[in-house]
Amino acid sequence: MIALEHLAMDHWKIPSFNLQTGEVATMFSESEEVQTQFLDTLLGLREPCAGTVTVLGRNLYHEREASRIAVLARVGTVPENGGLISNLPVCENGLLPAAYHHGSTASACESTVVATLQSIGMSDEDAMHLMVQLPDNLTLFEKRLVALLRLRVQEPLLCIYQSLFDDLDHTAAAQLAQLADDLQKRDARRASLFTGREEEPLAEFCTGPRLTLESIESP
Amino acid sequence: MNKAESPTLQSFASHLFKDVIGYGALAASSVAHLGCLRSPVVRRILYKQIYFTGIEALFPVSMAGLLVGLAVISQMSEVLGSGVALNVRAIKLLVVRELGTLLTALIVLARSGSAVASELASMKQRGEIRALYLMGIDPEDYLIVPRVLGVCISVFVLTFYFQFMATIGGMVVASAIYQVSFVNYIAAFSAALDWHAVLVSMAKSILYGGIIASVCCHHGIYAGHAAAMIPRSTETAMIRTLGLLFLTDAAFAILTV
Repeated sequence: MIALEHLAMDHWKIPSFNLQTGEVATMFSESEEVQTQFLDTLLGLREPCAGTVTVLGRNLYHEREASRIAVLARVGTVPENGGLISNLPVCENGLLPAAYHHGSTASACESTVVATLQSIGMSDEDAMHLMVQLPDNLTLFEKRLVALLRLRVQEPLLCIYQSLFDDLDHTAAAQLAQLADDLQKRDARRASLFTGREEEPLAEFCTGPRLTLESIESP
Repeated sequence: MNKAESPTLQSFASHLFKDVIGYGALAASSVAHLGCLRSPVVRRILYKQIYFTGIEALFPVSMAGLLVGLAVISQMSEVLGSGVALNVRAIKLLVVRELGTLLTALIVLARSGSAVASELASMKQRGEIRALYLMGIDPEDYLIVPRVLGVCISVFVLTFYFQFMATIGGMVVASAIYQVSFVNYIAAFSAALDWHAVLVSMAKSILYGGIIASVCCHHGIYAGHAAAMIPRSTETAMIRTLGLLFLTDAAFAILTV
């Protein structure tokens, strides 16, 4: 799913690593900037200083735009702030990648979204209220929840979560962890990578191999 | 500020040249990506853009058209006299050939151009363009193509609407002031209407729509990540579009005399 070989950027490097089908891995870094840089490098937005990165068998940075986009359509990402589009209500945000890539419609996905929200104890009324909100009116937890709903509808092969549990209380983090776990278990081929700034929730909610960034000392 | 840091005319010209190439590249790329309209998600953005830029602009365009028609007839008849033929010629030359396209483009620029530039710059600043990319959605397909096409279609249709309203407004005023039948004016206008001028007007409206959309999208999507870049990129987009619109209009005026 993900293969890193001697990957290095300006100020950090990472040991060679392979994320296999069905695996869950974590990556801890106190710096949000480093996490963003790592994910951008992983997903082909940034060229690594050294080493190679392949995601779903492709080196995304060197792929042509169309094939890079085709690979990213099979990768689901939850950025720290949810990565929601501010001029779309929650219901359209949740549906966006599935509608764009697979032509999914709101009516086809409604039962999935309702069941997912019910699984964390949300009432139908609260769910309806959430669906019509614009992202700017949501809390951090709700933004990440909507981003997880988006992944649930999209059903990607590889899930990447950036700081999913950071800056949340334990109950909220546990609810998101449960949803991410349910999503992971829905497909035996699926793999997930969690990055985070806070070590404790990562250790509590995610098991599996752990990636550690090593800082490169300036000469 | 030392001499090395001071902006020179040469560096300004170099930036301007690069930007103009960028506008052209963005417009060409939008044409090349038109296939993305097969996606219902992209078509929905296109319809929203047409609604915002075209339908919602109908009222200001109606008002501007009526008032411009009125002003053209009242001023021209003061200079040229009250003959039907002269009034019709004034409408044809000023409204159909010149002012219709330019004023419509300026109204669209003021309403939608600024909105497009600031919306895209704001999306860039919030990391939404990166988020789209990470979802496997090409930001060009999702954000640029529907906006460029929507603005072009809207300017094209609004230009004809403006010309229609200005012609009607001018003729109503002329027939009221000079006691000439409105039907006579319409008949004279239909006879005098030059289809070459209409075709030029059509070409100009599509080109002006393309200029507005390309410049505003370019400055929006390539804005910096700082919040202060949102008003700055919007302002630059407005000024550059105005300059290009006037330059293109002057070029058309010279070439089609």
